[in-house]
Amino acid sequence: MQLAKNLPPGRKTALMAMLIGGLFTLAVQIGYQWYLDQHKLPDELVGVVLPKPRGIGAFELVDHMGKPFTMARLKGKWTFMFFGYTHCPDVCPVTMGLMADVFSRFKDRPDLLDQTQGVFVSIDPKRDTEKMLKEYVPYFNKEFIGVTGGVGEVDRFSTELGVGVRVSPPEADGSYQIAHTSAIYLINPQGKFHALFQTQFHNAEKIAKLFDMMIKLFS
Amino acid sequence: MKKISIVSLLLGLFFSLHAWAGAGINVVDPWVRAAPPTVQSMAAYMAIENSGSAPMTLVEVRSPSFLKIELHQTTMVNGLAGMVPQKNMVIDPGARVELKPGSYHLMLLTPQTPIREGGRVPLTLVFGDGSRVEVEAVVRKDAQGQDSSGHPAGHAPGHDMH
Repeated sequence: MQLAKNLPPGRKTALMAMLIGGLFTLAVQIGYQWYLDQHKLPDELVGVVLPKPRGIGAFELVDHMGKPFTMARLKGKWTFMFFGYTHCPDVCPVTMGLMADVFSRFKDRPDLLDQTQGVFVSIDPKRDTEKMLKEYVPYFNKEFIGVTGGVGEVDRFSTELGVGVRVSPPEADGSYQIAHTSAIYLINPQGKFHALFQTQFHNAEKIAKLFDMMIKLFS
Repeated sequence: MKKISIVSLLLGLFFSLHAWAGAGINVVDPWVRAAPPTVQSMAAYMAIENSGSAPMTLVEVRSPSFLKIELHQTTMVNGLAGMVPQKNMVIDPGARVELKPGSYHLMLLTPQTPIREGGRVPLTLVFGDGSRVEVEAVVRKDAQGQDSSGHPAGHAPGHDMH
């Protein structure tokens, strides 16, 4: 302060301004770090959870009971969603089995299961009728919902969620295969795409753990 | 004399059958993934070991239970899981080839009979030298003692695919 006393008034004001400015910057930095710490995702959820949940536009699909499957069906529940087709003998039953395994890990937590649903969306609506899905989907878990619809509407819905689909050239007998995204989507109770489980890296135990972390953070 | 000729005939038959039945090929734990009854495509898995001295090429698999059987590999390309048909599968001497979820498998098309969990599916493995190996695959829900995580394999060492 001895130093400040001997300074001319103009320099004194400048020094005060610098001091105040410095303190303000420090406060902002501390505050921002505190904010980051509060909102920081646990390391395990980095790369799984979207930084900002992404909204989904209106859609009109149909479930395996013939009932409309629209945005209203996603609201109020966490939805595990897998895109596949019933003519897929390896990846799809493996992933459906995995999804059923995740759900079975919560069997002693009915409160959690009440607010969670499993959905299989067919990316092959031409072959996968409601009747086909009615046999296929509940086989893995009787509560799971099979979803199909018009070719254009299914295409629009899956494209919006970033599902990759590549249909192989048909064979002589007309049969064809489809290469597709094998990840499991997690849609939050606001109907927004919130996380993606990569099935080649995450087993059922891991997915159940990550989901449990998520609902504690975001419910 | 008649007795001896029958014995020699039987012996001859035995040795010819033996030579024909895929020398050195051993199939371990063949199984078919149980699926809902309406499903038109199923998958079979197994390990094939070649203890012989020559490479063995699996060229075809037949079954009275299915219209068609194809050899496939599940692959992951640019984030898309797909299946690549394989013309054949070479099992080198001393090698063991695994057909498992998310990797090589037999795609079983159009069931000719109901395929139920706990049942058995006869499979005939035909090799390039004309030899055959008959196995019965058990129909069950999941892999046993195998990696059932379904990782698509980048490549499988120890054998070639063509």
